Amino acid sequence: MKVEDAFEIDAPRWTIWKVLIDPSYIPKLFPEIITAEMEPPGEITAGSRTKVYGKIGKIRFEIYLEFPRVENEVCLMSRQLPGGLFQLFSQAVFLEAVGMQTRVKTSFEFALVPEYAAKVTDVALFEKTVTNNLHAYARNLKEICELLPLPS
Amino acid sequence: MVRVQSTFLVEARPEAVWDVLTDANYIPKLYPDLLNIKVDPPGRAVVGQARSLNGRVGKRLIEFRTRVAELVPMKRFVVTGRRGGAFESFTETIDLEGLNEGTMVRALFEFKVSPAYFGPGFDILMLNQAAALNEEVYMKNLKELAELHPVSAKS
Repeated sequence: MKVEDAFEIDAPRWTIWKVLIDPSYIPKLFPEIITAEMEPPGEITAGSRTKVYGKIGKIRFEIYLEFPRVENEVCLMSRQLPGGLFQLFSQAVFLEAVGMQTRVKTSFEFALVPEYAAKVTDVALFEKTVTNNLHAYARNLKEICELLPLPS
Repeated sequence: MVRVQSTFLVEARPEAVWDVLTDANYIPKLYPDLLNIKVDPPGRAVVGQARSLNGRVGKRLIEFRTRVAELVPMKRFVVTGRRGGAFESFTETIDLEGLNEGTMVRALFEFKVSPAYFGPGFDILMLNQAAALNEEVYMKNLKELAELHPVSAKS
């Protein structure tokens, strides 16, 4: 399944980039993601790997990802590693400056491991939950990046 | 000083509750208005670990600074505020007691929002209420996260 969004954020690219490469934002961007453990620890760089825990109902699941392309203020890509919930998962986020705003395109593609998903719940329902999470990512990214500092 | 306290049963062993409490990666999921966290030294909580957090109030980005003050494994977890940031004072004390049916959690939050940090345009009473609401949701989320059941394709 493929989930795509395109939207504008009222913030410069570097603000969005700081959020994208900080793994501690991941649980805020995806509603059903609980934690993201980076290897190596710290900001996301090309070659970083992460073990992500998520939840559906009372169930906790895992996803393993690596970031093959991390191009400063331009593009962030992740893809699934063996093990965990997905047999296929890829994420691509592209940033393009438009004046003081930024045009963002997000693209996710995923397929669940059938044996894994069947243990959690109905597969169609599960796919819908994942799809909703991926759309929420776009909304949350916009909301977080548009926060303003306190007036000095 | 505002106090928020609650005692509740988590249907999981103290180890599961402790695992959530001491892993800073869970913090943005525990507090609804916290966005991200940096810890020094990196990794699980140790006494003295400094925590710098960003959060939001409405459309504003705000900053918190805390430190892990006390750890008694599976029994007690205490975090206190550091100078600077949105709280003039902050203490979070979580006590755990293992029972046959799970873990009894006693949580106490005591804090005072810093008027100097926010400046004159903010209503301190509202900020205190927003912080108190976050502490209440923290307890609900701690229970929910500690009670999750892991699932694996191999099992």
